[in-house]
Amino acid sequence: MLKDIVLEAGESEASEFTLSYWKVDPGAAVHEGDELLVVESVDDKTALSVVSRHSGTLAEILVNEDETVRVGDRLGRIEAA
Amino acid sequence: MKTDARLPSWLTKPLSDPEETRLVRRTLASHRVNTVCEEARCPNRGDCFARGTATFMILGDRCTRDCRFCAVSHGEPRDVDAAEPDEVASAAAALGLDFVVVTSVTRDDLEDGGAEHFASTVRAIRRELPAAGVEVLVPDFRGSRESVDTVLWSEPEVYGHNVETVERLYGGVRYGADYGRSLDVLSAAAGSGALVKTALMLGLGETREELMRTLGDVRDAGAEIVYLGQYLRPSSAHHPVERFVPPEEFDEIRDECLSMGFAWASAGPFVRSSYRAQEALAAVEERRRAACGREQ
Repeated sequence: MLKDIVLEAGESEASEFTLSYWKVDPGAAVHEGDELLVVESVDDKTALSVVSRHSGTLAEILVNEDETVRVGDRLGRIEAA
Repeated sequence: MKTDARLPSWLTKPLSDPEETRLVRRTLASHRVNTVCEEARCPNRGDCFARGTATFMILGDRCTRDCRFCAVSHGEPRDVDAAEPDEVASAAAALGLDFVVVTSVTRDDLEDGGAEHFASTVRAIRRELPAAGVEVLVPDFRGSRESVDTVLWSEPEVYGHNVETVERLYGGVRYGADYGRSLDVLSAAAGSGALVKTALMLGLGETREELMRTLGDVRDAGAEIVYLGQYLRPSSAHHPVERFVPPEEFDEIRDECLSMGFAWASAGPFVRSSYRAQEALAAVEERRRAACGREQ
């Protein structure tokens, strides 16, 4: 079953982020808690990593590196194991 | 796969779950208290709030100085809230803290720099939480020994004052402050027998030689605890990061601090002066107990 990777609000007060880079490639196995990608915003002092809520395979990347994303956006999809 | 992110990989934190921090946020909001965690947009606030802790910031939320590295608002300060000490104590009790860290904005507009308010806050915490340890992180009080003493008399377990950076950079990033005056604050507190702590940010443009000289100065002034972390720019209007210091270099510097005689040194990219502050006190007290045991 395909599960969305969604950018959650977290502690950041930023509304807009830049997707810096993906840490896994499409087709790669992922486990719940693995870091999938990193985003940055001008309002945060650190880069923030988005972790996987599911175990399975990274099926699809919906947002590419350097693109702008907002809280709630779908970033990719995982084929859950 | 791209690896040339704006920030180096060691400055990445997991996006925390707001559910885990809700209790702390709600408690702080209900007591109308400020935290340096939020006002300075500390990168560790998610971790700390999730662990049920926070660092209180008293004397309002506006600083009378405008340091080029700091995210705290500056400008015309509001009147001091006389109820704030009790609110901080009450919030600390509601959070169930057994170690309370209190800092403040700088209030050069007040005759005593806010020293009496600091002392009142420590005493209020003592009344509310008699078993809790208290750490204060004070401003330089414009060099007033009387103000330094006023806070000392409230007997916090740890007396902190941050030198922040090396002497050469004071004029460029720390307007209104004076390196020698900050050392005087440390030595006055240490001279009275307090356990003294200081902290510096790395990456503002200091050289390693300047850093080591500064560490020697604060050690000579009597600081026993030192914290060193990476400076992170709050916005494009602030002083730029001159260098990202790798974690292994922080490890080296921490080891050098210990060899210089500091009782405790924390150093790392995300180390902040009040981050996991209780660990330092516990370690120093343990060392002191061990030293007493050897002497007996």
